Amino acid sequence: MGFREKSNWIMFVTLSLVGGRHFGPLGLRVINGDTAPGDLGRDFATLALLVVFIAVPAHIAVAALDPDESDAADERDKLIETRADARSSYVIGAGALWSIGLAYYGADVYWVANAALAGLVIGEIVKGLLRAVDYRRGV
Amino acid sequence: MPKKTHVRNRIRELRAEADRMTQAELATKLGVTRQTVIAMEQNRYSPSLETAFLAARVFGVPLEDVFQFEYEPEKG
Repeated sequence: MGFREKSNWIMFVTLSLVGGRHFGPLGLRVINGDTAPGDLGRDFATLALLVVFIAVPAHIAVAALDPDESDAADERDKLIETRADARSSYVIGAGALWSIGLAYYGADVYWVANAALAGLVIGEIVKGLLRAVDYRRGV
Repeated sequence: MPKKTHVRNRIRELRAEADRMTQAELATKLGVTRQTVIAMEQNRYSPSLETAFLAARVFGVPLEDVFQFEYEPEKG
């Protein structure tokens, strides 16, 4: 497994864990009818910092374990990237439409921003999954 | 289940004939990663035309000696 495939798995697992930690409780709140807005800045900063604190050391560890492995993308990596980008863009678009809908119906900015972020995070998770499949199955 | 391409190749045999050239050595000559050479040998990736021609030049043989197109159109 090359560096870029390992990097893809790191980001997939990191975003699944951090996204689940952030959006899981939010989803439960919505189901229970609790729509009181939270602290947007604190929530987003926590999410971003967790991604950085998990993904960066994991990448450093992977690079240290196999220092000869190049991190450069070749034509196959670029093709896999392009295919995953094209297919996951629908998820990101759906998230954007969802957040626009929430804004139209007067939802608090906290929920509008979280809907947009959910689209981005879920889109990245789907992209990671599609890349992982293409790397193993072939393109 | 791996998705096989219609393009077959003799890269593994040609590497063996070329003084047992390693996958890493071939990858360096082709400007791709070793994983891409592995994927090509397992018929899980069809390289670009440029890489295909370069592979033929590296082995010193015509393109058709490296890659073969094995496609059977559905009848009917």
